[in-house]
Amino acid sequence: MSRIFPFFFLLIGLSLSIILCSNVHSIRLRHNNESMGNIGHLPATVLRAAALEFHGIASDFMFLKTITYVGLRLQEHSSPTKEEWHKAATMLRGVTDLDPMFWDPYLFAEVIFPWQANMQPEADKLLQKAARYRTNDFQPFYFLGFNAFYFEHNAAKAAPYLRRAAALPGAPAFLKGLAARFSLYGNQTKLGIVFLADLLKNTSNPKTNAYLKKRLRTLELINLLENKVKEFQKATSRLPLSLDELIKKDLLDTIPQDPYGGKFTITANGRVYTTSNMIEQKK
Amino acid sequence: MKNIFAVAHLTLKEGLGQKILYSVLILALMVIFFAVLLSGFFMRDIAKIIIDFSLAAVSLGGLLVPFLITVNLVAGDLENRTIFSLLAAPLPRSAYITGKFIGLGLLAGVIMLILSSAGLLAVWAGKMLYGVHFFKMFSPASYITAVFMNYMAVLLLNSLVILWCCLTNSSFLVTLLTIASYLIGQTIDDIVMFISAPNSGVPLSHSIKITISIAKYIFPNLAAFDFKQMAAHGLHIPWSDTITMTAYAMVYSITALSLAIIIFQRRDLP
Repeated sequence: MSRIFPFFFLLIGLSLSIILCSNVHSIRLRHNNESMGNIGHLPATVLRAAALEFHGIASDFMFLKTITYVGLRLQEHSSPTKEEWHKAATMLRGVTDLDPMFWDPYLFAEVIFPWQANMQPEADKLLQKAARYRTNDFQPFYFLGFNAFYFEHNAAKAAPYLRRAAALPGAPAFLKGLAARFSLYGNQTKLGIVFLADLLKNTSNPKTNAYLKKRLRTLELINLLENKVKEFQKATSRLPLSLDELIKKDLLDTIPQDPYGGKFTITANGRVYTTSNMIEQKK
Repeated sequence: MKNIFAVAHLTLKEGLGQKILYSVLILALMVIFFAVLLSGFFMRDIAKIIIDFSLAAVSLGGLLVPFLITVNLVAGDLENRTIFSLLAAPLPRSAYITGKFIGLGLLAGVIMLILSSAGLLAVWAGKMLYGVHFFKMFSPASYITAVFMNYMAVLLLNSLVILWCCLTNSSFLVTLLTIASYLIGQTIDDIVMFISAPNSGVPLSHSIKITISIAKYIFPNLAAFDFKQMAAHGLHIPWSDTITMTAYAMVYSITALSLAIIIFQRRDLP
């Protein structure tokens, strides 16, 4: 009998732990939201002291927690709430307090905040911090310049950033004349395409790659439609009232599908935009 | 001198006899596997993640010696009275202490060498898997210097543990004192910075400030040996810093060991 007991308890223990596993996971998920951001609220010195000599690895795990948190919410096909975005931003501030030279959190903020959360000032603040600590890196200034031009439509603010970026080692050759070429582009779409294509070239994470590719594809479609609008304007000396007019004029076979599930439409001044605002639409 | 090396050799053999190498090898394999696997979740700083992991493992492996083995071997010798068989031979007490320190230092060296080699292997595996492009900033010189600085910190902590062992018979108390020394050594600098910041927002009494200032001079500044972040970003670690920190570790260790020898020589063993 005494030989059977351990096996009996082993079997019961195993079965119970399998049953409880999903409950434990859901508790963890529920509290994950509550625990997010609390660590980031600690002052930088306290955070650094608490991490002892493991600042690097602590920042890695904290960043991983942040991207998992944001990724989970994006995967649920729902855009995170304002409060959730602010928690993510707080965490990123904590990550960069632990390791101010860690580039991924800054890049993550740049890829997500202005595009997805309408939080360009938050991304700019983090990029300013990156510029302070990564003194030989052209990227913080490059992204600050991009944000000023693309999101604020402020070429005068963007140009000095790009000039500073161009003067730093490793800056791509096209950066030197970018400030001057802004007026040639005429709109932000092309710059967005250049920017996203450059990001894609140097990113290894498959999920981020897929995210960027989708955004790039959408911008390319907008660019294509805007070019067709220009052709229409050239031929008829007026702007089309809707994109359907491009089909009627044989400039397009069909209106392309927005990868985010929205609908492409045209404004009174001929700019093309999508109703999804490049945020995944619920099906 | 011969006596010292005999004790050092015996200590190293005893340490390796605890099958510690097996656990270190398992840790090394885990470092390679997890560092390479986990770095794939990040966007660009893949090399930084792998180096962070590797250097954290080197630190942990090194800390195993003062936290577990030194306490076990030195305090255990006193607690279990096995020291009598050693001191029955014509062995000066100073030779016993110095020999133990050298033996434990060699043991920590072996462990940290295995783990840092595993880290280099992880970097190589990462290069193969993700491409050389992500490893342009990796600097082997900074990596080796960071490991060496870490080793110096472990030696320093070892000397402190030996001092605590000479002060008390209880291995439990020695473990507590070691943990306290490590925590104070790692945080004292940050605490001093925090309280001296004009807007820290925490009102502190004068006596606490004085205690912290005294602790700053008594306890070793272990955080200053931490060059892991610089190595992770491939930044050059100045030679002057390396030399100063090595000198600091040596001076502090010699002082702690001298004090340990003085106490141990005057101590009546039960």
